[in-house]
Parts: sequence; C-alpha cells; structure tokens
Amino acid sequence: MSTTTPPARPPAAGHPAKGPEPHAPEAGQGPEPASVQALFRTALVRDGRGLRLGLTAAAFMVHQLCEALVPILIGVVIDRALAPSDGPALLGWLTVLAGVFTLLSLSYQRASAAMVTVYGYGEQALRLRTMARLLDPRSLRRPPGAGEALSLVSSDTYRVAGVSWSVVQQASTVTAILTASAVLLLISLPLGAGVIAGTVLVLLVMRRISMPLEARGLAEQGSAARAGDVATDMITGLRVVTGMNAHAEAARRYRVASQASRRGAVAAARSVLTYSCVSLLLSGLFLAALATASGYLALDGSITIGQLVTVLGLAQYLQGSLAHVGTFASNWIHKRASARRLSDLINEPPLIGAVPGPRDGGPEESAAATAPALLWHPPGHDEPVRLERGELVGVVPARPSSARDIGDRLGYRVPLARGELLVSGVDAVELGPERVRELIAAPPHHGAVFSGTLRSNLVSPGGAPDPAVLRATMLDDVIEDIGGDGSDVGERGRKLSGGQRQRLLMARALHTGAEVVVLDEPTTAVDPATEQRIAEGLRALPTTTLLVTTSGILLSACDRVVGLSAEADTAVHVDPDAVPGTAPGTAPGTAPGSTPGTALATAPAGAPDTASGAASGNAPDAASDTAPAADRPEPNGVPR
Amino acid sequence: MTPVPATLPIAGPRRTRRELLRRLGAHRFRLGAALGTLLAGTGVTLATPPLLGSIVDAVAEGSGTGRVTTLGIALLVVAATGAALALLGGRMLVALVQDVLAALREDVFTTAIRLPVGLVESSDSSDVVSRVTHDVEAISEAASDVLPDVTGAAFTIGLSLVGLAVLDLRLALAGLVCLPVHVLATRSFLARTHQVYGDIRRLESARGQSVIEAVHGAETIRAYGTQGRHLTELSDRGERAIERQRDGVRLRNRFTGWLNAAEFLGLAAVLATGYALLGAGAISLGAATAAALYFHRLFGPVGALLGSLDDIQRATVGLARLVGITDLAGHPDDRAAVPRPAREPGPPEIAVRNVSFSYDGLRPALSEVTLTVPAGGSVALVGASGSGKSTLARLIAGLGEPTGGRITVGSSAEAPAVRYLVTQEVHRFGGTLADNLRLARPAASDEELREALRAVGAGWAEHLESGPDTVLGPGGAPLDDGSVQHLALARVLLADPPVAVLDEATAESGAGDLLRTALARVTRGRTSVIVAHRLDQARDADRIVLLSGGRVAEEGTHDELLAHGGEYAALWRAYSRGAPA
Repeated sequence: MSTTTPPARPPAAGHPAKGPEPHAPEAGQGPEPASVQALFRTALVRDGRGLRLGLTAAAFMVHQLCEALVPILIGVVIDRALAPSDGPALLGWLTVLAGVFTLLSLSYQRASAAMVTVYGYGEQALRLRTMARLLDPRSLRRPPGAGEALSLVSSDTYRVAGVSWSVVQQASTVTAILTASAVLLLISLPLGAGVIAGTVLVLLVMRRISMPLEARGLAEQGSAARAGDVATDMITGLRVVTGMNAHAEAARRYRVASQASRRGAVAAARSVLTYSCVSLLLSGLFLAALATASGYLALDGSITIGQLVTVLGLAQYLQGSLAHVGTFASNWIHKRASARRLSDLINEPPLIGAVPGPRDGGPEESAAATAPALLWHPPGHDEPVRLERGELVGVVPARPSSARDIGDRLGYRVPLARGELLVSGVDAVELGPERVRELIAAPPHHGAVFSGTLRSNLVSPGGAPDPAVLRATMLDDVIEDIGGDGSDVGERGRKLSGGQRQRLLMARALHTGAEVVVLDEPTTAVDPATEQRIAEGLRALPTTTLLVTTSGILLSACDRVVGLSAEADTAVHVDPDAVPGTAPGTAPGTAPGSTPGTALATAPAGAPDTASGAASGNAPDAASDTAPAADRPEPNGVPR
Repeated sequence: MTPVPATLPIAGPRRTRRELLRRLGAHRFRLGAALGTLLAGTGVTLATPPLLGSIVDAVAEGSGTGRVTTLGIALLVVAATGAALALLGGRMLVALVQDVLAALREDVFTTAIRLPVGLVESSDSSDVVSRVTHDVEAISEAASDVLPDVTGAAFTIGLSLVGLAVLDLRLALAGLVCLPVHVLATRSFLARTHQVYGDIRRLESARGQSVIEAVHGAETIRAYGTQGRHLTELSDRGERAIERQRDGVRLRNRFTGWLNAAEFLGLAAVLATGYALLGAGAISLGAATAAALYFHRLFGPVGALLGSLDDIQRATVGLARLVGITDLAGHPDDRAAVPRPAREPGPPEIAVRNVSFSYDGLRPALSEVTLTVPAGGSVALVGASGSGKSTLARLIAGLGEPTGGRITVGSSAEAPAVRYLVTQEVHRFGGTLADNLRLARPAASDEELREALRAVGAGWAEHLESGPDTVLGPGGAPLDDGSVQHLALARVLLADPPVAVLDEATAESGAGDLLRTALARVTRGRTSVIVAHRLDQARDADRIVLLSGGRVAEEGTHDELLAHGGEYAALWRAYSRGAPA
C-alpha cells in the first residue's frame, strides 16, 4: 500500500470529487448524497473490497462447514467404530477428523487475515469520507459540535465498517445451518424440514423482539457518552477551572453526568442481556424438540442409533448457530443507527450554497487588471471598502466582537450575496469559496495550531519560510526563543504563549502567497512594544493587507482606515431603527434586510435567521440581534 | 508549576490488580450473589449432554416413548432454567460492574481535575482527556461485552470437566490431553502480542489525534484549503495502523491454529478412550456419546475465553492508566472537604520576595523578583512577551511553587482558595449561561447571576431568549470571545475572592471605556494583580511593575514611570500614539 506518496490516498479515499481537491465542487452542488445502503456498500464492495469479501466469506463458509462436520463425524465415529468396537474404523475416522480440523483451521486463518484488510480499509474509506465532509469548503448548514463530530468520525464509522464482519459471519452461520439441515434431510425428511422451519422461526421472533430494543438502545447509547463530554469540557478548560478553584463544582457536575451514564449503560446492557437470554431460551427449546423428535424416530426404527447420535450432536451444535442467528437483528440495529447518523451528516446541505440570480455579466476578467484587489460592500454600510494592490488598510469594526463576522465574510466562510465581495473585479460568488480563499487569505482569528514543528505550521511541506515575513511578524524572535523552527510546538501549539501563537498565525497567513491577506485582530495577545514593531513590519511588507482591528498601534501604521457603522457588521437582520443616525446601505443587494434572505436563498423557507446564526459560529448574532443601541459604543467611536 | 514529569504515571500490574480487587471487594456480597447465580445457570445447562446421552441409551435399550418424552421435558426445563438464571445473574453483574466503573471514573476525574495544570499540559496528547474518556470507555466496553462471556465460558469449562469426571474419571483425563498445548500456545501468544498490541494502540491513538486536530481546526483547514494535507495524514496514519493490525492477526492466527490442534487432540483422545472403555464394558454407549458431546461443547467457551485475552489485556492497560491517576490523589483532598477559610477582615497584602522560577530547570523565567501589593491595592504587570508576566501572575495565584524565594498572601497560613486567577484562555463551558457562571458559585441565585453580568457590562446576556437557562455555543446562542471573557469577569464577582489575578483577561474584548469600568468593578475591594497588554488598564492600577527578561526593570506609578523616561515611557508613547483619542 502506498504509505509515502501523499496524493495517492489509499484505495480507501474513494471519493476524489470531494473535499481536498480545490475547485472540485461547483457552486451549490452538494456532495454525492449517501444513503444508509450506499454507506454499507462503501464498507463492503467499494475499491475492490467486494471480490475480496466474497472470497473471504467463502473461506469462512468452508470453515463453518467443517465446524458442522465435526459433530457429524462424532456421530459417525460412535456409530461405526465405538458401537461395533471396530479398531481400524476408529483409526480411519479419526484421520478423517484430523483432515477436517486442518481444513477448518486453515480456512479460518486465511479468512481472518483477509478480513483485516477488508474491514480496515472499509473503515478508512468511511472515516475519510466523513472527515472530508466535516472539512467541506462550503461548510455545513448545521455543523455538529466537536464532540459529536469526533464520535461520528471514530465510533460511527467503526460500527458501520463492522458490517463486513457481520456479513461474513452471518453468511457462514447460515452455511452451517444449511449444511446441518442437508445432513438432517438425508437422515430424515421431517427432521431436516423441522430444523429449517425452526431457524426461520427464531429469526422472525428475534427480529420482532429487537424492534422496541432499537429505540431504547439508541437513547441509552447517547446518555452513556455524556460523562465523557463533561470530562473533556472540564479538562480542556482546566486552566480556567483551576484559576477559579472550581474543582469541587466540576467534580460534582462530573458525578451527576457519570451517574446518568451509569444508568444508561445498565439499561442498555440489560436490554442486550434480555435479548440474548431469549435467544438462548429459544435455541434450548429447539434442541429439546429436535432431540425428542429424533428419539421417537429412532425408537420406531426410522433412523439408526448412529444417526440418532449424529442428530443429537448436530442439534447441540445448531444450538450455538441459532443463538447467533438470534443476534443478527440487534447487530444490524446499531449499524443502521450509526449509518443513519453518518448519512445525515453527509447529506447535510452546505452552508454556502448556490446563489441564484443573474451573473453580473460584464467583462470582469478583463477588468481584473484595473479593478481594486478587493472591493467589499459591507451589508448595511454605505461606502464599500476598497483595497488597492500593495495597500495596508485598517477596518475598524463598530464593536470589537463583530471583527469575527468581518473575517468570516472576507474569508467567504458565511454565505455572501451577489455583488457583496469583488476580488480583482470578479464577484466572489462566481469564484466560489475555494478560489476566493486562494486569492484572499483570511484565516479565522482563533486559528488552529497543529501538532508538529513551528515550520510545519508555517509553510506547506517543502516550502521555505520567508525571512522578511518572519521579521515583520517578529516570529524570528519566537523561533530563536524556542530553539529553531524545527522545534515542536506541542499539541494545539500549547508550548507557545498566546502572543507567540498569534505571531505564528499571522506569519502563516502572510506565507500563503495570496493576493490579499486579511488579518482579524492579529495582536490581541501581543504586548504593545512588540505590537508596535509588528505594525512597522506589516507596513514594510509589500503584501496587500487588510487589518480588521481596534488596536490603535496597528491602525496608526495603515495607509487608510475605514470605520464601519454599527449595524454594518452584523450577519443577521438588524432593524435600522434600532441604531439611531444611520441609513440603510445603498450597495447593490446589500440592504440590511435583504442580506440574509439573499444569501440564504437555498435555505428552506422559515429557517432563515436561526440558520445563519448557528452557522456563522461565533458571530455575535445573539448580541447584535437584541442589544439595545445603548450598549454599543457610539458609531463614531472610530479613531479617525 | 514546579518542574514536572513529562508523562502521567501508569500503575504497575500488581498495584492495578490490588486496586481492582479492593473496588470489587467493597461489593463482595453482591458479586458473590451474581457469580453464584451465573454459576448455577451454567450448571443447569450442563445437564444437556447427559440428557442427550440418556436418549441414546433409552433408544439403545429399547425403552418406550414415555422415557424419551420425559427426557425431552427435562431438556426443556434445563433450557428455561438456564436462560432464566443467566438473565438474573447477568442483570446483577451488569449493575454491579457499572457501579464499580462509575465510582472508578469519578475518582479518576476528581483526581485529574485537581492535578497541577503544568503536569496535565506537559503530558502529550491530552493524556488526561484520553484517560478519562477513551480508557474509561474501553474498560466499560470490556466490562459489559467481554466480562459476561468470559465468566460464562470459565464456568462452562470448569463444570464440563466436572461433568466429564462424573461420567468417568478416565474420560476427563483423556480430555485434559489438550491442556499443555493450550498453556504453551497462550503463553507464547501473550508474550508476542504485547509488543504488537502496544504498537497498534499507539498507531490508533496517533490516528485519533489526527481526527481530533482536524475536527478542532476545521475552520483553519477550510480557510487555507489544506483539506488534502490533513486527509492524507489521516489516511497514512490509518494505513500504518492497518499494517500493524495485520501482524496482530498473523499472531492470532497462529494461536488459533494451536487451539484447533488442541481441540482435535482432546476430541480424538476422548473418542479413543471411549472406544477402549466401551470395549471393556466400563461405560455405556450413551456415556461415551455424552463425553464426546461434553468435550465438543467446550470448543466455543475455550475459544471465547482465550480469544478475549487480548480484550482483557487491553482493558487492563486502560485500568492501569486510570489507577495511575487515582494514585496521584495520595490522601483524600482536603481542599474539597474543608470549607473556604474564614475571610479575614478586608483583602490581604501580597508580598513577593526574591522569587525565581524556571520551567525546565535551565532557563530562568523569573529571577529574584520582589514586589508588594498593598492590601486592597492593585499592581499592573507589563512587559514584552516572554518577560515573565504570566508566570509571575500564576505563581501569585498559587498555581505552582517558586523555585526560589517565597510569596505570602496575608497571614501566610491562608489556604490558596482565597486567590483567584482569570486566565487568558477563552473557554466556554458546555451547557447554559447559568452553568457557566455557577462554576464560580454553585449556590448563586438567578438574580445574582444577572447582577454580576450587568456589573461587567455583559448587556447582551439580558436579552437572551431563555435568560440564564439559555444554552450557549453550538446548537445554542453563539458567543464571541469577548462575551466569554465577560463570563469570566462575572465569575470573579460571583466568587468574590479577596485576591484576584487577571492575566490578560480582556485581551479579546477589545478596547473601550466599558471594559475599563468592568475591570475597575471586578478589582474593587480586592487585592489585585493585572497582566495588561492594553496600557490604559495599567495606567488605572495603583502601581506598575515592568518586567524584562524575568526581572523587575521598572516600578512605580504611571506618572513616576513616565517621568523616569525608561522603557515604560517608551511603551506608553507607542501605545498612546495609536490609541483611540
């Protein structure tokens, strides 16, 4: 398997049309939908798994067939060797038994070795597909929380991939039952027919019992995971908890969650237990009936004593197989539930969907040379924000907290209206989010630092850091401090201080080679002295840069500064009357009221504001929606 | 914050076993009842082979249908009783196991949440989180899936051997022929798998790490379009795990081969012995049949028992990791039990004397720092990144011991609970607005919560749909960082500590008078230390200490330092040049 060449993702990746490749999905075209069945198909037959799985299943069937032969041979040995006290026959049949055991063992070993690959790559394919969806460039309208996302990528894919095991195991169990029935049919027609009827009956009864179990099991699975969520939350916020001495309260909350989890786990385990005991009971009854019936048949001479022993051996063996048949239904319940969760995620519509409406027309591409590098019509703001090549422009959000929203819009992380954002004269909506992000590097304020070296966080593999950028962002100091850019930065960059992390994030954005770099409050954790030098450094760089900030030090280094009016920077509907002294925007298609509607035109009717609110993540909708004007700084609280 | 070991301890096997026995021992009567019931259930079902053998005998002897019917009914009763006892015993065992598990994980969490922050964060891979979640889940899974099977299998094996011995001791001995093969195969399997399973666990956790980082960094990955790189990493790591799993299966297959050989040997021995005994007239045909059926019945349980050895091994490893944490608790924590110390009248004075500190024992983060914060007064710490501000703040807050010198707060006997640190970390806790606030004071009323929010200028909170019960974060009301910091400030008011240390507590809240007001409100009536990047906050403090390279470089009031014309004055010039008018 290709472990080294990066682009040759494993046979598993499977869906080259999605995710990693830039430009791939065209505007508004959702990913390939995935039904529950399609996901099972991925686990079972995609990427050549079908053939392998078929061969594996065949090997398992041979194995089970041999397993079924063992009790039959026991009967034969007793009938042909023990009863007539025939020594050579004993030797002969034990040799046959040895042969059966050899075949039994080899077929199993071959099959289980093959299953690792089938199962492993099936799981891998599902995991990558789920992950690719979570990282979809167009985001998800209802993104799962981190905890839920983790459980989707790890637990649910694991369960759905397990379907391959279910298939081979269940197929081989059915083989065993068919083999046994065939032998029984040869011995006695009614016994064979009885076994087949009994198997079907057990299947039906267990399926019936399993239905109410499905609903209960799912609820309990959920509650059992709660304690883990609380633990993760509290340990992640450990510094905060420790700072406020809230250990006791944190422990109390964990206990409450843990007890709920305990109750859920007990209830779930008891459901499973009830189910398996019913299955045990049914197979026991089956054994009793089969044994009694064959006893009667032997008594009236329909079958020989040797055949009776074979039937009894088979009956006992079948008891185990039938108990397994009894678990088929419940086995699928959990797999289907997981597959449904995965399918819901994959079928979730994108946050940034197609924007209907006529193309602006006009010769945008040819205008590119003369058009400003960036032209943004902030919703509700009169004047567009214009950024010429090589400029350093400051944008001051009306409220500090709305900087996030500005960053989200310029990074095309939230739906944009047509005409709102023009990159070199071309409408962002036409370019699509991926192309826009190549042209504008507008990383989120809380950028993630990944484990690895400082260098691996700064440039893509093989790239070299630009000394000018390192100097400008004062990252050279950091590199010196931690002992070189090959030093490990720790998980989530924990080995760096807040200010060092911010300098790394800033330098990373400036290393992308994008035409425009948008920095969202890049120096909140940096001390004033360093901030001053960074401001000078940014000014000296030739990069076309937009600084979204309230920091006076940074703003003083800018070529121009644009102050946004109070309602301009909100993602959701704002009542213009709520903010005195401002007029609705005049930019095309960006009147405050129309923005959400236009941008979310693909949203089902009736879902507008909440959809955009939840989706824009840390956008301050809750505040901006409701906060009275009095709580906001004056719109003119802008430096210049 | 004293130099800490890089990883959390893991308990040794003996210690783990003792701890497990201790916890189970606390429930010994319930455990006995559960196991007894399960044992009885298994015992009942072991009547099956002899009953089947009796049917053979009944037919061989030509008894009437009446006897066969009786034996059939006996089989029915055996099946029903066996299932009922298995259900009853299983229910008891499940409840017991989950009780023990819940107690264990609660102890682990209670200990973990009190661990020194430095220890938790220096351990790689969020070791603690993975212990309180993954290890707990692995054990829980093993306990609810594997344990019932293993007990059932062990009982079946034991009782089957007894059954064989009752039929004829020589038959039982013949069956034991396979035992040496089992022992040797198992021993070699366990010895070899240790390494391989260890590798698989490590590779899988590296893969999990990729998943976690990609999920948490999704926004960044999207912004830079680096999906490909992350998916490739995930897929490479997944592939490496699969490769190693293949080695694991090879070992397991070899083990299975030996088990099959043992099965054959045993079965052949039982049949041959049956042949000899039957020929000698020592046993009936039915007894020989029963013996063979007994032995054949053992295949499943033996396979299950030995097959679950690696599950058990894995759970044991997880258990050792958990016990490793609970052992850190040492003696039961006193801070939890003892109520907060009685407040001295008024806030205390903080004295820092010749304090030095080093994270790695080599490079000093602080050297010989001396300063005093008068009772009820405030000191602002300023300086460049890496000058030691945050380190000093955390030492003053009682998180860690200085490497040299000492810090006293009031009459030094006071417990650290009176000190309160607001960190620069922005962490929104799960749950509602009230949940986030009541961490600081669980008993606070809704009105007190509202008041605290108003006092720190969190006007947004008054307009939330469900008031304090509004769920925050994804799926609820989204919150920006400034608002999360409002919550942190409101918590100070609720906790009402005599000493407050604010480490860049407002970095994300932007500038503005509103914030200065909030900060003033939070520090009022407390001895406070403020680490400030925004110098207008420093200006408001009674005294300003400028740190440089871990030493106190300048100290005085705002005006004094400006007049002094040193580094602070230069900083202030830079700051005020760009500062909003």
